[in-house]
Amino acid sequence: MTNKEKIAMLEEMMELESGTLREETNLADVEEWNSLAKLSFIALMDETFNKKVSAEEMKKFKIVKDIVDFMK
Amino acid sequence: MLILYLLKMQNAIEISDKFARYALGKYLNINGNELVISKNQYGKPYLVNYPNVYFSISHTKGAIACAVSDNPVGVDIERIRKMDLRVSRYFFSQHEKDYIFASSEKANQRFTEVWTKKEAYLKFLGCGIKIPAEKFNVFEKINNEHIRIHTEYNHDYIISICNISNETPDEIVMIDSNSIS
Repeated sequence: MTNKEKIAMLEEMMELESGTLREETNLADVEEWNSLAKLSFIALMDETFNKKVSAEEMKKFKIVKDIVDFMK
Repeated sequence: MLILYLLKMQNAIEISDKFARYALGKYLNINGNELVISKNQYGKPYLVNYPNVYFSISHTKGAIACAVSDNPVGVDIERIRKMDLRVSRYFFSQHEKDYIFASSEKANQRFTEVWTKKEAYLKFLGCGIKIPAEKFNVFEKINNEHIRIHTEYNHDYIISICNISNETPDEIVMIDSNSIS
């Protein structure tokens, strides 16, 4: 999966228009990156990537690329 | 006294700090810009010079909420939207899932309602997400003799406030974005 596809997946998860997120986008500026989005992300990682993500790991996400890099 | 301040505007997150200071200033009847705000080890904000005033902030798309009280308080606001309801199996107790799925029409609304209650409770505790969300049943907390979780519906938004005893908001104040400079 390319980074572009991963970002599209995140945009869909957060109900954002396509092209809203870029790798360098600061997550603190994305109001849709809230607790519900984080829940959805945990489920997405488990179901699509078969990978667990903790709250502590999510706290380290500062920009979109941090999330994208985690989606492996 | 418990007051809930609400602001609806696009990109409300960008003025989160200003909004909190404005709300706290209104509550204390002082200039909020002079307040010293710090965070505890879990990231919960508190007023350095007003140890008996507690507040909690939450934001979602298009809105931000700040609850201020003379008792510990936690608030969460979420916009009702279509959820991937499969998420519920990760984070909700069986009792909560039964409540959510009892009504297919209202499942998204109920999912959001239960989650705001959970978040408000965890923020009330002020210790971060240390308790696995699926390990406690929020409906038991609602009836706990020591705390109360009050939920407000405001158009497309659900706001839950958790605090001590039976205190419900004395007032809900809608803030005009133009008031915040």
